[in-house]
Amino acid sequence: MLSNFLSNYRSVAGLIFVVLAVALVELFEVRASVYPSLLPFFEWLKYSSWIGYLGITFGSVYATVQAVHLISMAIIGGTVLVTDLRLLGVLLKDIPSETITKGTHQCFKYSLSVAIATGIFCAAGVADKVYYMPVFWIKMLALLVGSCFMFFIKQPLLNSRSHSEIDPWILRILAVASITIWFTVAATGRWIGFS
Amino acid sequence: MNNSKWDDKTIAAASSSVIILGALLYYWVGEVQSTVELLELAYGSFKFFNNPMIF
Amino acid sequence: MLGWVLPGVSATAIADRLHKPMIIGFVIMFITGLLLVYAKPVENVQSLWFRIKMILLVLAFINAWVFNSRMRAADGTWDSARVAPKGLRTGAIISLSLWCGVVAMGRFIPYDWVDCPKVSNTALLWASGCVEQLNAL
Repeated sequence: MLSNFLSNYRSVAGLIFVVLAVALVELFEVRASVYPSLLPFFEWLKYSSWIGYLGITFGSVYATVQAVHLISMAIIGGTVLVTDLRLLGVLLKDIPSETITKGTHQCFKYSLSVAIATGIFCAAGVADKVYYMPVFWIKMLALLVGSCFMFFIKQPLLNSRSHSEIDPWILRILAVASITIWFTVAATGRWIGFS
Repeated sequence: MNNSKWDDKTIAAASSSVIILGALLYYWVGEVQSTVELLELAYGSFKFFNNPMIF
Repeated sequence: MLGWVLPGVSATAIADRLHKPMIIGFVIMFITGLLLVYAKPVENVQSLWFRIKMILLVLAFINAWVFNSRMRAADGTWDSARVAPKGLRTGAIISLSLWCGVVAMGRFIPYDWVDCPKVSNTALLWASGCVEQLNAL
């Protein structure tokens, strides 16, 4: 029966597993015990790695990479907004949502890769500072959740069938959740600069 | 092939969206609350130190 | 326009449908930009990066106006083609480059590499509008 459930409801089983894992992590205070062990890695990132060295020594390189990070985030925001506002029936109503979803996903993947790569460089330059910032960890969590949500939940559902066969309320809540999580990533990222 | 409207992917999408939205709402409402409290504190300090009766 | 994103969708349809959201975005950008300049007016106005950003913004608006006129003039003749005519593609590349420049210059404003007290080059001082330092020279 369990194997039947696992084979027919893989996504749901995966979601239950993740929720249980998070609950256990919080229950046994794993975060508090893992957090101090990350400090050496962050210090290595800033003071010993070449990306940290480049970021600290050449301020203009750091600023340029940050600008590229911003541009890639703007592209992510654009693709997310166009797709999700179409799912909400606000924009581009005369173009099939399947076309919009498939057409923007490639652009989203590329810009997310660039954002993550440039983000690592930016974090490395100030690694000893961001380690102690709660807003940085919230951004990382939001980024992880947003990426997993996009690649394992949203896209598989939207690619599995015609959108007219999916309950409109499911599409709406999917779109709102997606917009909210990526807004959180962007806002907390900007907040890091103010901390 | 499962033709039910509520199949694996749909249930996962609905439940994960609800969980994510709930968590984010909790976070942002908390942030707005703490920001308002900070602003009240700052305003209170400003009024206190700009009061000519206090020196 | 360049055939990179949504190649199967008519570019004029995208331009038409996204025109209103673009205007809304411009309005929000303008209002928030004014508020940001109001917060630190002297530092912003005397920033070389801010001035370059304003120039790029004006160029982006001009390009958008020319680009839109050309697109309306060529309306319907190229919609089914995978890529737009060369003139429109050039306009699209210029538009992308100008807006990337606007974002980059905006990111550079907080950095103090070419701030008035740190610069001695007359051309840079003039370009940044560093009145006090220019008078002192």
